[in-house]
Order: sequence, then C-alpha cells, then structure tokens
Amino acid sequence: MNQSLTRLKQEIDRSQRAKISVREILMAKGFMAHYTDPIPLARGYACYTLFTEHAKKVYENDLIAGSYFGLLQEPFPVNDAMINKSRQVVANYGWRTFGHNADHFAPDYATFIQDGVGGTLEKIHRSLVRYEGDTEKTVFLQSARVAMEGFREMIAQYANAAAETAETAPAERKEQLLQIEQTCRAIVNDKPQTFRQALQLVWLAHLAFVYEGRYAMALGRLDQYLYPYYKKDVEEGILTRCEAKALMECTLYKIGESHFIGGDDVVNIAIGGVTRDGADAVNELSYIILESVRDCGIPGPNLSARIHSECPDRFLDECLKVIGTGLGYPALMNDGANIPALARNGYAIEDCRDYCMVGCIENFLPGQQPPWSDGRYNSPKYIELALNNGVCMQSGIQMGPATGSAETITSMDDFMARLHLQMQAGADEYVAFFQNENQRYNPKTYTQPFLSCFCQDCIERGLDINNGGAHYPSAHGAGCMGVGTMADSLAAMEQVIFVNKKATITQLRDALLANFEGYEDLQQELLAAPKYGNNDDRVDRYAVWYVDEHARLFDRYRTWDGGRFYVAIASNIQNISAGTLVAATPDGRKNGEPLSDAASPMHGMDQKGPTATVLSTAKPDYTKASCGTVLNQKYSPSMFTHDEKRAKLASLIRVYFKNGGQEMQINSVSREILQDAMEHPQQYPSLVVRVSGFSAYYNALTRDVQEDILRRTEQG
Amino acid sequence: MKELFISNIQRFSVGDGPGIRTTVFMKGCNLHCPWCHNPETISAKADVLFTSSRCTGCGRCITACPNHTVISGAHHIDRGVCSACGKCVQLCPSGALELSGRSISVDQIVKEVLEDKEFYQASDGGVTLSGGEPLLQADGCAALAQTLQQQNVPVLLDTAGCVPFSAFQKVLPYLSMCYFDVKSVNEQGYRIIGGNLSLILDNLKKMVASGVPTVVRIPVIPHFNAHQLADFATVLQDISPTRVDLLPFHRMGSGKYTALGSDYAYANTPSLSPEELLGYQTLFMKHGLTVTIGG
Repeated sequence: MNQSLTRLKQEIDRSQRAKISVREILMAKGFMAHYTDPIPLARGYACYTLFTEHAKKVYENDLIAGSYFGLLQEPFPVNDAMINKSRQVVANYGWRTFGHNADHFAPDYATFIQDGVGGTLEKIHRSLVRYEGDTEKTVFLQSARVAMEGFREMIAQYANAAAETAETAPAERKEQLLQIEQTCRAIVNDKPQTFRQALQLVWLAHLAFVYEGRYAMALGRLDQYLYPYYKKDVEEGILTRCEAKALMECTLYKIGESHFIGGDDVVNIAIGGVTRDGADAVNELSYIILESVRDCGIPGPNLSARIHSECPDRFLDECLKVIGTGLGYPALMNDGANIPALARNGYAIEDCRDYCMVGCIENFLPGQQPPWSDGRYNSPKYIELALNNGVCMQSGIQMGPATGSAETITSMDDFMARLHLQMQAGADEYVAFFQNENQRYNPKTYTQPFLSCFCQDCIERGLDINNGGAHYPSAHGAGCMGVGTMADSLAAMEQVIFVNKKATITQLRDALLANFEGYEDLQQELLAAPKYGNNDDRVDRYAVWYVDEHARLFDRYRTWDGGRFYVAIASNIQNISAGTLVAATPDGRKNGEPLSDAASPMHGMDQKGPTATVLSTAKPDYTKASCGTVLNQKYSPSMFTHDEKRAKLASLIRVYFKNGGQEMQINSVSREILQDAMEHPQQYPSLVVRVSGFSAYYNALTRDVQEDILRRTEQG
Repeated sequence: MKELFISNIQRFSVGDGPGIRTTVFMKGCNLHCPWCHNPETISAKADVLFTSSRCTGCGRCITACPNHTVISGAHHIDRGVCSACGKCVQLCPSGALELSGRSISVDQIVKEVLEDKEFYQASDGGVTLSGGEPLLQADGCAALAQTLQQQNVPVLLDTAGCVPFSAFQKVLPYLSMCYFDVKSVNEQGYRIIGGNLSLILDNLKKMVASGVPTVVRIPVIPHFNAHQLADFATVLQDISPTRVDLLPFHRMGSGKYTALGSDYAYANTPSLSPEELLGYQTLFMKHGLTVTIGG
C-alpha cells in the first residue's frame, strides 16, 4: 500500500461529519427560484444549486479532488424549519428511484472524457439549434445545459478548494494540492489531456451523481476508457505506474465515504474482458485497478473481472490473489456466456462486447440504455400452488389459478404442465406490478437532466433518458429465486413419488401442509433424493429446465419503451426473506426456511466437491439469463497462498466457463474466522465478505445472513 | 469383474499430486503408523465412524441394531460386537454415522473418476491411488490404472512401499508418477510401525530406476523421525529420487480417531509449522536433492 493512501485513510477516518444531508436544502433552493419555469427546467436548476452550493472539501492528503464530505457539511446556517420546507419542496417535485430507472447505471464516461464539459455543452447547443421551435426538446436541452453548467462550476470550485487547502497545508503537501488545483482548472471546460485529468473528471461526475442521491452508479470499464491516457502519459514520461496506482487508490478509497451517508455503496467496476472488436482487453490498468481495490480494502468498489477464453493466465491469477485476501472480489464474469446473453436481445455485437456490470452483477451496456431495475420472482412458491390447486399453503388464500387438487395429478408431466400455468400467472402478476410502479411517473416531467448527458442519443435526440432518449430501450431484470430448491424439489417428487412410488402425491401435499410433522420418514426419503450440485442428471435437468422456463416466461413481456425482461439468477440475500414466504417444499426443506441462494446448489447439498458442483451448475443455458447469475463458492484461505493451488482453482474456473458457467464469486474466509467474528465482532471491524453479488462488512450483516454465509459449503 | 475395497473417493483433491485430481483411498494398510491422518483406511475390514456433533438423537440406528444405545443422552456403539454391516449408516439421516469400507467395481470407479476428466486435462491432473496401501490390492489397482491410462488419465500411485516388488510391477506400466512414502531410514523406526526397511528402500531404488517420476514423501513426525532428517538426506542422496517432499506433522485427522472410537497417540503433540522445516529443506538441497515442504 502506498503512503498517499495510508495518509488519506487516516485523514478520512478521523474527519468529523454532521448527521443531516444537505441535498434537499440545496435542491430546494433551485426549485424555489424557478417555480414558474417548466418542470424539467426547474430540475436542471435544482442540479445547479446542488452542484455549486455544497461545501467543497479537498483532503490535505488527497491526490484527486472530490469528496462526499460536502453532503454532510452545512454551507450556510440551516435550521429545522428550512429543512422541513426543503423536504416538502423536493418531495413535491418528486424523484425517480430504483424501479423507476434512476440509478444502477453505467454512464458513458468514454464519450464524456473525449468531449469534456465544453464539448458536451457544445453538443447540447447544436441540438438546441437543431430543435429550435420544438418546445419540449428545447426545455429538456436547456435543463441539461443548466445542469452541465452547474457541474462546470463545481469543478472550478474544487480547484479553488484545493488551492485553499494548499494554503494551510504543511510544505510537503502543498505541491500535490496545487497539482490538484491545476488538474481541475484544466478540465473546467476543456477535455482532459492526461490520465490524471481524465480520472479527475470521471470522479467528479461520479460524485455529482452521488450528490443527486443515486446509488450503485457504476464506473464501468474504467481500465478501457482511461487506458489511452495512461499509455500516452507513460510513453511521454509524465506518469509512472506507481503514480497512476496512487491516483487510482485515492479515488476509489473515497467510495468508502458512502459509509457516512447511510451505508455502503455498490460501485461496480468491470476490468478485463474483450474489446469492442473481440480482442483481449486486459491491460496494465486492469492490474493497477485490481491492486488498488485490494489495497483500499473496503466493500464499496464492487470489482468485476471479465474472463474470456483467451484472457492471460496472469490476469486470472492476479484476480485470485485479490480474492484470497478475503475481500470477496473480484467477481469472475464469463464473457463467453454474458456476451451471447446480451446479444439475444438484439443489441449490436460490438455493444454487447462492451458490457459492464451495474450494482452487483447486472449486465449493462454502459451509457446506452436507461438505468436498471429489477425485482424478485419467487419461483419455488409455484410448486406449492401447483400441488394445492393454487391455494397458498401458508395462508389458505387462493393465490394462483385453480389448476386442480393433488388428487388429480397423474404424472410428473401432468404436474409440470400445471406448474407452468402457475408460473405463468405468477409472472403476469409480477410484470403487472412492475409496469404499474415503473410507469408511475410522467416521462415528460420526471426528467433527469444531468444523467441524460451521460447516455448516448439523449442530447442528439433532445429527449430525456427515460423519454426515448437512450440508444436502447429500458431493460428489467426478473430475479428468479431458488433454482437449487426448485430443481431438488422436482427431482425429489419425480424419484420418490412417481419413479419409486414411496408415497402418493396427495401424501406429499399433506406432508408439506403439515410441515412434515408426522411425515418424518417421507421427509427423509425426499432429503435422500438426488440433489443439484452433484453432477446427477436426474436433478440437473430440472435446473436446465428452470432457466429455459424462466426465459420462456419473461420473453413474453416488454417494458414500456419496448425493452426486454432479462432473467437474473442472483438473489443477494433475499433467498432468506423469499424463503419465509414459501411453505415446506418437496426437497425436504421446511416451511419458511431459506431457499437456495442465487444460482448455487442448496447449501450443504453439493456433497461431491467443487468439480461436481461446477459440472452441475454449468449445465443450464445461461445465455438465456441476460442479466446474469451468481454461483457462490467458498474456499479456505490456503487455496490462495500457493501458486500451484491457485493454478488448480484457475483450471476449475476455466472449465466452468468453458462449459458455459456465467459467473463465480468466491469467499476465501475460513469457517473458523467467520464463526469467531460472529462471537467477537469487535475484533473484526474490517472483515469484508461477499454476499451473493456485493461485498459487505461482516459485522454489518444480521445474524441470519451471517449464518447463511456460514452454511454455504466450504469447498476445499 | 475386478473389485476394490475402498474407503472413499475424493474429488477435487488438491494435495495428492499435480493439478486437480481424484484420489481413491484404498482400505487396508500393512503399516500401523500411530500418527496416521487416515486411520479409517488402516483396517482391511469396514469401520463405522460416528461423529457425535452431527447426531440428532433420532434413534433410528437403535431400531436397526442392538449395538447402538443411548446412555444418559450420549450415543454409544458397542464396537466389540459391531460387524460394520452398515445398516445403521443407511438409516442415519444426519450423516453422523458413516461407513469406511465398501467393495466397488473397477468399472464403477472409472465411471465416477472420469466425470472430472475435463478438469484433469485443464490442470495436468489425474487420478491418485492412495489409502491405506493400494498395492495390497495390486491386481485391482492395475486394472483401474490400465483403464485410466487408456482413457488418457494420468495415474499417480501413493504407496508406503512395503510390498513385494512384484506388486509394483503390476501397476508400473500404467503410472505417470509415484509418491513413495519413506517414514524412517532405520530398522528400529520401521519396527515400530511394522515395516521392512530394506524391502522398502529396495523397492524405492527400483521405482526410481523404472523411469516413472518418483517423489519421496517424508512425514516429519516429532519424536519419531524429526530428529533424523539428516540421515534421510544421506540415504536419499544416493537413490536420487525426482523430488523429496517434507510433510510436517499435523493433527487434522484427530477427529477421525474419535469417530472410530479409538485413541490417538498423537492427540497432544503440537503440529509442526512449515517454517520449522526450512532448515531441513536447506540440508536436503545441500545433498543435491530437490525438496519441498508440503509437496
């Protein structure tokens, strides 16, 4: 770890902050001065006051300006009445959130740094000229211009702040602070010329989104769009690798400041993969980012490493080394599955190759589609309904269509047909609920002037990102739950009821209704049936069916602007909450217990080790899961310390990906440490673990989630 | 059809040779090393293992077999009369009862280990025949190794070497590598564990001469051989094996002794850390030997 980072860490960790965010106060100022303007334009002014009036803090030990600090720093005297009034004003104008395409977005930083602020304003100007006379477009473009002008002012203010900090800083810090000032001044209007300037501009733009209240804004393919600047600077001798890493660290560490404003952010960064032309994209910056994220040691930067068949062994090995530190990332993504998974939606192949992730693992075309949204579709519930004539076993109410009582089910095929009807009805409800929520806001007035500047075609078309401006339409991810629970349940039904005839289907139904009380022998039979994760086709074929079925179900729908519904098999920790809503299942699981997590086998059921797990979980066709999937694996730390063992792990991953596996993420913390951390949390303040898609401080997790992580089988 | 009597088939075995491997643990050993970390493989008969922490006290085993009793809440097996028939194991829902020792056809083993062929190929791995002493079942091992060789799966033999060389010769044509345990370089040492030093060293020399890469594995055991490593270096210098692996003593097998209902003589002996062996590593290198700690 370099010294700049150490000093910055200390300074940030020491700093005192107020409790109240000034976001609403600053935005309300903009709204209140523009009540008579069209709503979209008022939103532009709210951005303007937010960007220009927050306190600009440049840390004495920093190398890159821009901190979350100003959100919790009152720039002028504030009182309760002002806070209440501001909240009222901002609430009245309203604001899109997750579910309404507001965050979980990867901005088009590649274009933005090529244009600079001035170039972007120039584009807006050209569109204003082109659309003269079109009031709606003109208002939108004016609002974008106001927001971008606010951002321009914000950069200049950060330059001033750096100069101010320099004045009082010790002599040895002065020079680097003046360099920050210079860097900011250079990019106030002009496009960046150097790595330092490009990184600075990207960071300030990211920060502006954070000030707007957006969560899970991705930095996208940071190693790709910054690389030309890095390469040029190094060739010209004005930047060393070491300096670049220090700059990267001082940038990424500040993502951890999200801690002060209400919880860890999930800022996805995708490194590696292929270029738009399909060539290997790994470069020196990919490694620098890996090392920087490792040295920052905080959960916020959610690193994803795109692996493809030709990617260098060194890259995968370096990824495993970082995973081995116990941070839980990078998550390993398979280009071989993700690119075709995106291409099935009709996107240009070059755009698919340019994918990154937003949030946890959601595949995304940076700066080409509206922000992401997703929900949870509780698939295993429909087994319960199909066995019980559509009646919920927990509440007794009719939840699905009356597909017939258990007595009338004659075969496995018969059951599967009924299950399909239940799932279809469930999907209809899921989509209806989503559409109602997603379309709650008027696209003409609930506009996003600053965000739209970072999405292709918005400025050119003169349309907001959620009003037809984005290059591609909005996509929505249906997070399909419990593939392991479902595959195990269907295989157990088939084997125990229909093949071995150990019980009748009505006895099974009764056993589930009784939560296996009085049916313990049947429960044991069901538990002894083949389980997903052991390379047993009798059950794995139901996991294959699961992915096909969900793709069939959700391919039938379109979002409001004609976009696709993606299948996601990545449940975060909702396998626990979703489990509470599902009665006992035919895999032997009892009422309310957690479902299997994400795309992983049910914890503890994959008993033949990781090779069998990998063979099983690679069987489904994940190119039908456009959003992405998550396979959680846990290895003891000793797997990462020896070159030879890491190479074995790398081979395992290569085989998984060659066979079509989509994603693997690995925790390397030993069971003993996790158990100890549950008992003595104070001794593990910085223990970070991966929880199905994001990393978190272990101590910040609830006990049931901690236990769930413990239950996920340790593999080697 | 050839059969083997095995304890376990361990997939994704990462400590038993190069690459990703599947290790077949044969049951039965003609040595009885008191530190053994696989005590469930020593007896040539089946063993019932009982792990009390997994027991839910459901009582199913009691209904199947009078040898199981619960005395003041604690499960007890009368091992004196237990024939390891395995009925209790079949009924145990929690995995507290396990059986070590089952006959399995070579074909069945081949079928299971070939599931991971892709992993062997991707990692230069293969199959390891271990135990127990695999060469006590040399015919079965030979049949297994031959079939695997035909399937282009490299086979590694992990042996303690105390068998007639004729047993080696049966499997030798099908081996890609041999791990050869040498526990002592003096007669007294082997007297304690029931081996024959001259036979073992003779076999080792023949294996090295056979051209099959042969790695000598030395379990470094406190109070047994840890103080004699200089002698090992002298002896092995002349034999010149492919490599020497020093395996520091550890107690990870202690739970298995409890599960077998037997005492572990090394229960209180501290594990050796790899760092403690660094000096010996240098010593072996001075004798012109390639040496690792831990393999």
